[in-house]
Amino acid sequence: MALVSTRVRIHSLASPSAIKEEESAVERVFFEILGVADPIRYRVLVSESSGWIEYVDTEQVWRKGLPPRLSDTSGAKKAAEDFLRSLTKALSAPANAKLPESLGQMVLMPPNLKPTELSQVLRPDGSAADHWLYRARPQLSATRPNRRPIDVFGSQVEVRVGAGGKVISYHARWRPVVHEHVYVDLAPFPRADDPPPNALVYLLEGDGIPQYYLAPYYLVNTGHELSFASASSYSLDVVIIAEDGKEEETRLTAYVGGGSGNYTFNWAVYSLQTVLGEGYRELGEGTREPLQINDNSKVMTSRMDIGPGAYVVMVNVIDRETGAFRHYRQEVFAPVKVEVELRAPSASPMV
Amino acid sequence: MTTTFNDATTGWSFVALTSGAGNKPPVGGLALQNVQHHLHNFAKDIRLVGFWLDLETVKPPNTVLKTEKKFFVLSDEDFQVSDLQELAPKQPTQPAPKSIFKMLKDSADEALNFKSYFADTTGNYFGYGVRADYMAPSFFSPWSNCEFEGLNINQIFLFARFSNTPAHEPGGVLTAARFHPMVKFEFIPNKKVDLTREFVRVKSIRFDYRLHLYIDKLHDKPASFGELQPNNAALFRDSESAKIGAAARVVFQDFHEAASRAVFEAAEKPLVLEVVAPGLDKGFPSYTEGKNDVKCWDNIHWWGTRDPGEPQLSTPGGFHAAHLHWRWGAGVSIAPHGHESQFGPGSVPPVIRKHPAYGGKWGPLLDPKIWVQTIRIAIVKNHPELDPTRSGVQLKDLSKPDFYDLFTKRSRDPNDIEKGADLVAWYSAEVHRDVVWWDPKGGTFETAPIVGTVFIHGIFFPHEAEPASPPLTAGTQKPLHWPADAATIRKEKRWFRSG
Repeated sequence: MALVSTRVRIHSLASPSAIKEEESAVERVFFEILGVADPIRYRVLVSESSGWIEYVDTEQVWRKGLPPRLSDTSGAKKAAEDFLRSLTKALSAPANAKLPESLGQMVLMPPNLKPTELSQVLRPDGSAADHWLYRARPQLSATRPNRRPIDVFGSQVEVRVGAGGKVISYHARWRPVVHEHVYVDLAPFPRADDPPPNALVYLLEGDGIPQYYLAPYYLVNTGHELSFASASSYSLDVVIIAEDGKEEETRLTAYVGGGSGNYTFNWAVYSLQTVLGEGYRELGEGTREPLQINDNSKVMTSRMDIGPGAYVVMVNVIDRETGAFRHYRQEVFAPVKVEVELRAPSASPMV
Repeated sequence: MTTTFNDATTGWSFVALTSGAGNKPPVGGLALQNVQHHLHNFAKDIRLVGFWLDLETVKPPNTVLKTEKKFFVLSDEDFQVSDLQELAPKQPTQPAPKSIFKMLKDSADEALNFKSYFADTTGNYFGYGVRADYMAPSFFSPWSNCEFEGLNINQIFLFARFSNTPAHEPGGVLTAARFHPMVKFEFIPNKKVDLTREFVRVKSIRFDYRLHLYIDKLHDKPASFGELQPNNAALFRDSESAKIGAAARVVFQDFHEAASRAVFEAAEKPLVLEVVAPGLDKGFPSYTEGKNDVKCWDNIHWWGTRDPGEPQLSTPGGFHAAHLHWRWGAGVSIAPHGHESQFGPGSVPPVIRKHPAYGGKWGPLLDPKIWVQTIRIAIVKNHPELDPTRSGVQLKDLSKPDFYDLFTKRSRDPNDIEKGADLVAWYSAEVHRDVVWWDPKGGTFETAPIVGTVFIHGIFFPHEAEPASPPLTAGTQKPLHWPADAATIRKEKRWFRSG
């Protein structure tokens, strides 16, 4: 895909806790649009860990009893899209003067929504359709001067439409952005001579993942799989490679691409088996080692050794030149080291 | 009786069965039903059926006099049972400066510091869980002079948050939530055991799960509901070599099918017939039986059946599906994140993996302390006599000494499930404690763990719209059946099918 502009926008993300603080205001918006009032039945939630907004009519989604009379395809589409338009208007400050000032400074609804799917969802017993599921992908403008919107990968908006065309659920895997932004150069696609199919996207990491801004990546179809490639100096790409270390240890090395090369790291780890009782452990910055890329440049890597076990390793990376940040996680299955011994078959196992 | 659990922040909800007395799990242990994530159905019923102990009576130094296999169900008959515990996650925080870019540039330490996000290092910020503990300090008292005295089992069913990190697949592009139905066991040594006279030892412990997964059936063409089947499943064996990819592109004109052929050495998508299948043999992804080389499968995919004539689930891909991977093949190492340790080289000690017997393949994703496991799989219809939610069906009848017998002895021929069905996956993980010969010249290694956790790899559950246009359409949405094609599978009617 050819892009006219070579400057790309880095969007700041709103603080999830700031949105959570105004959950009651968000609830009022939903209740007004839908004409409902009971907060027990009609549940509105702002996630404290992600800023995602959810609404559900607890008595209509996956309801028991007689199957609902659902509208046809066009009716369901209209119901979902009318709702999204109303919600977008009600959650924006110019249109809704009652919105708290803090929410008014956020882009609570994606400015663009690209429809991706509309399906009836069957009841698990297969007896009937339960509701319509309308899905759309949020988009944001990325480049200048040609303000073409691009997908926010990892985000999704879902509207469920039940009996009589009523919206019975809304779930936005969308973290609102704020108006603070910067423009940086769009990095050229890594393989300009014979580029595989690719698209420029923003990347939203997910629930509970520390993230401050949306940065662009090239989503690439390599022929074997899909992958991301950095598209700007704020789009850090992190890989952690595990290798055999000394004695019982496994050596982890974090490699970072996309930035200046001047990186600082901080590591932490938790065990899948014990995280529910023991939390996580900070490991420190690791051993920094420069990696020569070519005659002119080096990239800083970080090394950390861990013992045998099954973990999730976390690393925070900052580019000291730009402030670009990435939080990255990886499961590590660090094996036990054994020495093979020649032993007669009559030997007993260890007790 | 039941208790409803709903964690609004991670988005997971389910109903847990409880015993009549208070908040304890029922006989059998944790049994979760109507498991959903963000209102998307994931499973109708998930539980551990029970566990087997394979015991040997030994005359020193190492003559086995007698073997015994015994099945147990988690209950207060053998264990002290704890209450069901809900473990809700703490909420991460994040600095909220006036200017994010200024803070990141000028106060990098604040962003680097994990306490800026997870303030309490002893807290759980990462998943939602339910837990039940089973303690039996004198579990082995019926056996005279046993190497162990007691047995503790902890069930920890962990539901992780929805994100794309850690990467779930080698491209790092699939956002999903993970479910880890872990069971931890710990043998308590018998300090009074006398190994100079006849003694009893544990050769293996085997955990059998019943996973009644259910992924929503999304229906584009309103039609008669009576014809629609709920779910399909598939088995795959991963490629060990990227070279296959290059050959595949030449042989297969279809770009997307070439991609699939490059990634998988064997596939049955969708499953044509019910199946019993090997997933791992004592930590090895293949083994020899008589003169035959038996190749194990590496993963299961599970999805809502498509309407007749509609494309199948994309593979690689599977954007709205359950993915159960216990091993990845070395062929994924060419992917951007394929070298990462959540895919390989796995939990097997390096010296074993590099040995010719292992052939340099990648090992499984297991607790490294207990990597010598045998994983067996069955995917069958939800037969009423195998459904513990039905009256009269007891857990003790849902497991056999030979795992496969429960299914193959029930019915001579496997049922046809290619068009979909109400399916159940049975997953068995046997942890071996005996010395295993792997080198004909006499090299051995000791495997005698007393503690470990099974099903650590979990199942991941993305629920996105299936992409309709490039560049996201990497895999194929066609059926895939090789090396045996669907007609051969149907004609041969074999229960046991290897990869």
